[in-house]
Amino acid sequence: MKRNTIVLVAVLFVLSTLAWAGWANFEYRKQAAEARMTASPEVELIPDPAGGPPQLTSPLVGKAAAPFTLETLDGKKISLADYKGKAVVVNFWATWCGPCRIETPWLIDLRNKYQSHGLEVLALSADDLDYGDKAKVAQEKQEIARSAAQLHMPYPVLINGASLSESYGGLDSLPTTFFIDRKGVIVAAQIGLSAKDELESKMKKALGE
Amino acid sequence: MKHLMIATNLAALLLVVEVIAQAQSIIPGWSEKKDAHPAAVSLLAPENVTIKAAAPDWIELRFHVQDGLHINSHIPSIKELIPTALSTDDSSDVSLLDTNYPTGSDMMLGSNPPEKLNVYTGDFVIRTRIKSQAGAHLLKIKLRYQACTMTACMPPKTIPITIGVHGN
Repeated sequence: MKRNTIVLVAVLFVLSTLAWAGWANFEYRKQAAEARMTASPEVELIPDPAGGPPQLTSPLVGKAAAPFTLETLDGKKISLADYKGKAVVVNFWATWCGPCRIETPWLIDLRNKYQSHGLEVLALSADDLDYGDKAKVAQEKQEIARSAAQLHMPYPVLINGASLSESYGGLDSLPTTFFIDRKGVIVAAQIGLSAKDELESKMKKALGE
Repeated sequence: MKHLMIATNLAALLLVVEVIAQAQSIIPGWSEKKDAHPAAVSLLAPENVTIKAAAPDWIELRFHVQDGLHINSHIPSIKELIPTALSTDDSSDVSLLDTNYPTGSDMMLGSNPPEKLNVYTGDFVIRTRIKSQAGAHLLKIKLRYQACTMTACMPPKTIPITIGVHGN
């Protein structure tokens, strides 16, 4: 009888420990996931009130654009704050991004059309730069410069755009574009290639037209 | 005896609780951003191969690209795009001697102006020539690729691949 009781207590102890460990692990992961969800400004699908398909939008819309200062290919520093009072289109692209090659000529056309209204486009390259290796980083910069020239980008091309990943929603896909109004607020955002008309309407929204 | 039966029942119940809790811990919720760029490409086969020891032999690696995605072929039509390529991991027991990549399919992107891409979609096979000593060894290689949909691209990714090689 005494032996049975000892066995029973031992079995219960071991199983309780296992159950507690499993439950604690589950709770910990649940809390970590909730914390990440709160911290990560991912995109979400917003239902179209007109009944159309849901639109991919960014929770950054309606918020002040995160300030940044990045270098151009020739080492000049450019800040978002330099464009205070202007509407700014911040376009993240990369040399390896096929859809960016389709979108860029549209951005150029529209920038030329609305530049006199107070709009500027900043092209932020998300290409990796191997800052630990001087020769390699020089070659990587050359490749960005070659692509920018090939695409005839007339607007500032900034490097190391990937360093803004956290403050601009993760940059999980390219192209990713933010439309910032004259007060520095993001009024529209876009992930991936869309129609040129849509780019134009978002630019006009940034201009307040 | 009665105590033992109660203990057995409790044990069964607690084991179920434990199994459920462990299962919950390995299934990431959809909002749990464990990896923003899960692998777009996976190795379908083989897990293990048997080849002649100390003699070069060809093996076929069958990969799958997720539906709705494409990756650049080994020779993309645009120089700036990142080619799909295999490389040997430094810790591999088995030497990778040669690699034959399949020809990609042409895909048109956009229309004004159109960009012609050369890509892999669905399943594709890379043939590699390897050499192993006798016995059981591991071929450790890396596949670098860059995946896109028709409207957006994900950053380049490198995935590790391990295949058991038995040299006879």
